[in-house]
Amino acid sequence: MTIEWGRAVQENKKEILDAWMERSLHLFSGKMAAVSPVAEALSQALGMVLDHCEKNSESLTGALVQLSRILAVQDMPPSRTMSLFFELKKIMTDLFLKSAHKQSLKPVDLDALQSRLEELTLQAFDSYMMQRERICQLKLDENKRMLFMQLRRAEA
Amino acid sequence: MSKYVPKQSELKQEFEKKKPALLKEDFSGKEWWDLPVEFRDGNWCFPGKPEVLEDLGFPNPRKWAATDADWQLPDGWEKTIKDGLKSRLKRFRSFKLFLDTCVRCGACADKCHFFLGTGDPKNMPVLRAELIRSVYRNDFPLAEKILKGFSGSRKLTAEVIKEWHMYFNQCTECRRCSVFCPMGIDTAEITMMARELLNLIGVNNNWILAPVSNCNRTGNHLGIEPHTFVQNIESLVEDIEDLTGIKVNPTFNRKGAEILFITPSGDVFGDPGVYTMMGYLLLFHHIGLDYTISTYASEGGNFGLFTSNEMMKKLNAKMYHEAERLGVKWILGGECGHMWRVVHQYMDTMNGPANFLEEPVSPITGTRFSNAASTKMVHVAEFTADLIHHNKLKLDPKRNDHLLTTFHDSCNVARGMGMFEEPRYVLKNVCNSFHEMAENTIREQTFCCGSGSGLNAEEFMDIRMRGGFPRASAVRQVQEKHKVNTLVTICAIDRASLPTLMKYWNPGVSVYGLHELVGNALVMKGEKKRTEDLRENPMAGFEEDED
Repeated sequence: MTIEWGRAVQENKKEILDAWMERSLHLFSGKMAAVSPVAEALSQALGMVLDHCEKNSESLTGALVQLSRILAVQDMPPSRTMSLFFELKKIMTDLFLKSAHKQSLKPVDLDALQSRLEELTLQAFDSYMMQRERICQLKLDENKRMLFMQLRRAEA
Repeated sequence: MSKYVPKQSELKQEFEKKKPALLKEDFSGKEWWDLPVEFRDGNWCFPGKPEVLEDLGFPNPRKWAATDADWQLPDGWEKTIKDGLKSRLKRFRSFKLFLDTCVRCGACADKCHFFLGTGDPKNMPVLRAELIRSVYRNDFPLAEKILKGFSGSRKLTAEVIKEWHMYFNQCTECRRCSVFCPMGIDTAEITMMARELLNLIGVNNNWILAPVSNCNRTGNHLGIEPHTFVQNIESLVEDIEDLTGIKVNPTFNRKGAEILFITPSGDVFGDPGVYTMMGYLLLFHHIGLDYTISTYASEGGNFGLFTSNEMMKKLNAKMYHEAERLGVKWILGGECGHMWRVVHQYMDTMNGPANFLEEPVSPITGTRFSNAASTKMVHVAEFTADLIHHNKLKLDPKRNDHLLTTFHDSCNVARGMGMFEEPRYVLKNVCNSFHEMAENTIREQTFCCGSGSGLNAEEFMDIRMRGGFPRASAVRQVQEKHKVNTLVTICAIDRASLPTLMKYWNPGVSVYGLHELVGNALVMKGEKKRTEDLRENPMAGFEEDED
């Protein structure tokens, strides 16, 4: 059964994505050109999140990993990164409450949408932290590789 | 506790100063110089330790961090910078030309991997150069001085120094931008000058200066002393014997050898460089080369290139002094990036010509390397390609069938000396699966690993991952299209940094040196049955008999 809010999101995907991407560029305090490979990759990842946001799936996890991999190495604190999802909530609320879509979504659907977006935010945070942990692991691995022969001799 | 874990006081400061909030800023319409420079963990390299600076006799040794409000610049630092700039404009005509001739056409803008990977406008080469050009314009050319305010000039302040430190350390001197510049401006040389100037006032990077100091003292970047250097190689000799049944016999500091072999020290102590070293040792044994390895000139790399002209010259001279002392005929150089940039572009006017050596001639094929007539130093990829071309190697490329390869052109070897075909020729002869990355990401248009020019520091990991994004994206394309699992390269910094980049962006792709694959493929006389490659990974189709 198609979820009502999911249908509304897919019908308005372009509008939502454009607004979300515009807000995303603000993350970078003017230091991200709108036409750049990173911005393009970011837009692609945001689009994938929207495509699969209805329910948990491997595709959604993949999309969140792709998104958080980009965000986890940017010059900003985690809170700023996560604000991206609060922006999504705001964009969707504005769209579905203030426009003609109002009639198409019942209060119960809007509540479901809010809950789902909160869930998504928490999942995105977990994914972001996974990437930060990966960075720590990469630092450790790199050090080990650099000291490979010394460690080998020490172990012997 | 990890040095990377933020302190509670830092978090408090972050909450108070930054006030985590939903996005509100709008920077549209602001000038580039209004964009704030903010140092955060992950976007700056630790500065040179005081003892390192003292060892080198460099100015202003102190403990400081880029996140400090006060960088403890020395008294009169403005004069030091201005005098330093003036002196370099006089000494290096290229520098003056590069500052004067930019027409801001923007051809370089989207060519820099740091710009492509960060999206930060100040990483456009034109704008990065403008950081120093704006000061030059304010203080030097008369006409511009009169038109101050209209010409994009600005005063030299401590904030400008912070900006220089951030952005001239987000340039790996890879020179991709210079390929596209219609005026021939080499932004790498501007970065080199900026870093020299910053060193004059003690604004520096420990990941560059510590290796320089080590190299100055022991002859290699890690500071390995001669006996340890020998023991490491002997340990690799034992590994080779275990894997192949062949005992190779490298010699050390042997006077009268025909050839002195010098490679980056990463090949002697680091993973995966050591497997490349094993490949060299097998190759030299295979052809019966009369060579020796020096424990004093035990480093091909030259971090002096990222420090100052004088330091580059000093570290480069060590290799030639040692060649002269040992009485060899010529030098064979291993897989390295910036070693070759220094040798190919600067050695001749710094320390050359090396007339005490002979024009290199391969003792196996008789090929005369007239391209090295002045430097007397031959690249090992060129040397091996010549051996293969003359059918002097017995190779079984099937031994690399577990590796589906692509090739990363190292910036310094590709753009710096124009070597594109030789490594590919070798690679295609030692393995059966090779796929090129997209045309605008290879050869002279190759993308940097994002960690070159002394920026491979672990604390700089976030920026490195962003700077390496264009290279990683190109690898991902061949990974998805051709199932490539092996990225082959001929640079020690690449071998050190690309494994990390691949694990972050493209899990499943491993990094190999070219001569590691040569070592896998070589059929050695008297060898035992080979079932594993030099990493002790099983080779496809060469499994042990079940009985």
